[in-house]
Amino acid sequence: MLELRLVQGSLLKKVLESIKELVNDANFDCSSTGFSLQAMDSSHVALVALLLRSEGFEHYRCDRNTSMGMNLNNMAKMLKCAGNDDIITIKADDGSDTVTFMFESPTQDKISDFEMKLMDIDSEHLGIPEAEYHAIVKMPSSEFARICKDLSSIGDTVVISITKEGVKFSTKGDIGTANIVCRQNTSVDKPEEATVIEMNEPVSLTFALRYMNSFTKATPLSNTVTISLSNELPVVVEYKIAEMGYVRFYLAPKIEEDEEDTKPQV
Amino acid sequence: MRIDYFLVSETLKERIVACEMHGHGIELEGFYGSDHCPVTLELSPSSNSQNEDPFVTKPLSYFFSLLSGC
Repeated sequence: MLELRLVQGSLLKKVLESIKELVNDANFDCSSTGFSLQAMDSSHVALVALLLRSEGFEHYRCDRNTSMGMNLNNMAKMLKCAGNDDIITIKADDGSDTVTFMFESPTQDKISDFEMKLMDIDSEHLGIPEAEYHAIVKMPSSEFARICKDLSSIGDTVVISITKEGVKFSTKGDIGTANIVCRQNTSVDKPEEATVIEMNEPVSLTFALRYMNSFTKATPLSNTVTISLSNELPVVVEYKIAEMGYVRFYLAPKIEEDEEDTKPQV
Repeated sequence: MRIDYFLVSETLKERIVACEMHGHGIELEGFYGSDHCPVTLELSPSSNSQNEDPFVTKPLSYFFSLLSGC
């Protein structure tokens, strides 16, 4: 049996809104340590990894490791019916083909339960190797979302370059070019408004803005976003979820075609 | 003898250069098929080829396998 009770139910609502654009169907994995998900987009260049640790739930019961296949759009529709202050409980019996979402209003005067059919989803589980990153940028998530939105009105791809000077976001399109530089800035009043850059090595990578904009749907989850980059490797865009977990997005970089031809075969 | 054919979308129609049937007439002149009579379709290059993305994107599994050294 599975029974997870989350007092801050709005977190789960926000999680679904942040990943449903990228992934249609996914397996949620439940174990004694937490509620997690790993899924790729249809073209397999982007991946989302979600973790909600068991300690973050008011009540967490998971008798056996369980995997539940869900259509994320349908799940989001169900969670939309929960109020922002509702407590959300997720329940499923062993071997059941449905999951139940229960919403309790703060004063307990309204209790709703919604039952959703589960799916059988064959998914490729990619092992995500640990990596050391050449550069890590931590900045306000609203600022990052604004940059991705602004640049996507000019071009389709973004070049993220990190040097001692700061982090530069560049794009170009039919109507022209755009560059936005964020310098390190740690002397602000509130720590969540700071831009912090750790750089071991300069980095320059190109990504599809369409995916970056999808990732920024997670902005409501966290005031800050952490962007980890190494040359020629996927970027990691991470949003913390309160004190209970994270949602991480991985995106493959775009590699210049002529460069690729000159490289030795792996 | 099976009859082969091509289907193209409306947008591709303008790019048709030639469509040739290999083997015609009672003597099957030019035929090189077997139980099919082959058909070839020639399309002109995309008119916006200059705007094509000069980048390629490999799937994530490629990068992850690089990282784990396998």
